[in-house]
Amino acid sequence: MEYVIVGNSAAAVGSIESIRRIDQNSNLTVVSNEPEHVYSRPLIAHYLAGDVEEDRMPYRPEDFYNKHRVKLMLERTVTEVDSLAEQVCLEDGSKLKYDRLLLTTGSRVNVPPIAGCDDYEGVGIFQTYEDVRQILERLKKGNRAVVIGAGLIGLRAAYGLQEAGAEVTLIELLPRIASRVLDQKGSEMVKKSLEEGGINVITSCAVQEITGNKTAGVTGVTLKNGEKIACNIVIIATGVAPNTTLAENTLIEINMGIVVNPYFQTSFSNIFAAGDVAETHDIPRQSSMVNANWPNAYEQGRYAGLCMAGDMKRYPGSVGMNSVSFFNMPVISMGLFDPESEGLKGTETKERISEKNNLYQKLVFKDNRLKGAILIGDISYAGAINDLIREQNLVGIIKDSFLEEKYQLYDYLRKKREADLEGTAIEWPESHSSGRRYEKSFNEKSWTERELDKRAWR
Amino acid sequence: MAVKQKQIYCRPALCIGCRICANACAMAHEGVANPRQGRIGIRQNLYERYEYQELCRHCDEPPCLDACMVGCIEKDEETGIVTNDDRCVGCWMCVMVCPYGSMKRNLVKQMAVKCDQCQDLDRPVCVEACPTGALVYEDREDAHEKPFFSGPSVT
Repeated sequence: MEYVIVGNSAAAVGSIESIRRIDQNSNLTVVSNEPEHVYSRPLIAHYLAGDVEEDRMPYRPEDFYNKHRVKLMLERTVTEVDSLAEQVCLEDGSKLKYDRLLLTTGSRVNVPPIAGCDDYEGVGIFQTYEDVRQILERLKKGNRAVVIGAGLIGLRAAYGLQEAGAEVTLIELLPRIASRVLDQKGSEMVKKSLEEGGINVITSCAVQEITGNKTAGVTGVTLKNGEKIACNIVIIATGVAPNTTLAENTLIEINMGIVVNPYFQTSFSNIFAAGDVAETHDIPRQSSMVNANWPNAYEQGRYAGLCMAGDMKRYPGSVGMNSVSFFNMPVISMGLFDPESEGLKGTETKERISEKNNLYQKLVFKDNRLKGAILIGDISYAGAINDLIREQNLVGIIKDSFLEEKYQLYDYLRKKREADLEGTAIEWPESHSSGRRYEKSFNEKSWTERELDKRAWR
Repeated sequence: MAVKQKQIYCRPALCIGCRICANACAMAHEGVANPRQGRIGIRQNLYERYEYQELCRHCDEPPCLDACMVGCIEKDEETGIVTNDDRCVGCWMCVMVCPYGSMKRNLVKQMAVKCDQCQDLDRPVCVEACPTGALVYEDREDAHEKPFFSGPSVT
């Protein structure tokens, strides 16, 4: 069997590991257009900030490909997928036969039509190792930077540049920052923390033009309101889209990303797609969606690898989740956290907020199920909340006092474990969500026995 | 694929919530006497009077390993122990996905820490330290999930 994997990041590594768990003998080829050994894309901001050294960048040890007997083709670009002849064409005209093909091409950056964004040296995107090397090179000449777009990539880039010693200005078109990963209050808190950290944030403002000259490269940015900001680095981080270029002229179905079934097969049963490029089932929304982040990409790659090797294991679906940390303020958002902006009816929101302690927690419920959460400041229970979103259990009881009385989560985890033991789903009765404190114990009988017979109240 | 491995189990009927295990863990790994820095956590529900033990299960398909963007969480193929090394940058992805709450944040080092079953020692220090014998380190038939909260009841 010939396995061919296009792309070399989280999903590719996950699939290599799970293919080799089942199939030790087949040929496995990885084609990547980057020259590096596999490294972690989210880590480039930490590399820019100086948190990690170059030797800590590889995602897997040096002997990873040898150990898994992978034929590695770096700096090679796949130009075409010929699904009828079952082969991929490389840029030099050579062809590669496959029996199973996995597309893990990830995302591409959407560069908006801003005047001058292709013309000058120093204007770049923030996606690969190479981009960061160029930024570090450029930082030696001057330390004023502008980041256009305050999504997660923009925030990470701004944070990295700030830690690397640059004066950073963050420009966002929308009225608030990080609108895809946070709600109104959350983005205000993050904005405040960024400003305290020394980053200049400008919102509700578009960029008119990027100015510069041939010798010095970029010299400044002109905003729509006429303001001019001098800088020598511009990073464009206005958003990403699934990199579906390879599938575009084929019969592979594309919606937002490449549409896959729960076994990661595309329209062709021997072509698989996973990672940021694949459109999978989204658990809280109960619809198909592209959930582009690192944990999902690796997990999807792992499942896709199993399916490619013949162990058809159904993928339960993904939850969009993000975890970032700015200036010691941890921020986690999961699932469907902002129902107002998505125009969703019938949701219920529980909040706990303390501006003083930089604490904000929000849970979104719909139909008595937990759909999403935002946790800022205190994230110690994020795992249990993530599990609740993933399993979509009924949460009648714990809804009211979830955020104040954390022991409810342990009730949940304990109950879940008992249910796992019996192999049944957990059903939380609706009647318990009436606002009164939950009084009934899970195993009241045994507890009463213990109390009466053996133990005194502590 | 499941590796049969020795695990730390809790017999919940014996746990009195003293947190001596967490303190011993923090002493052994961090060198401080602070139960909050232990890699085993004990949570108490004062209303219903029971303890919940945050133990790492060393899962077969660890979600923390999936989530780690640095690649510093590894599962040893022979022993089955899931470990985290000091390349961690503190992105808290693993904290976000662990359904058992056993990935801990060490805010001093800005790193995630987790149970490594005290690989260098014969028995983990938490098991050694447990005064009531609630924690046991043994080989059970079904190593994962099921027997974690079931054990012989006290008479």
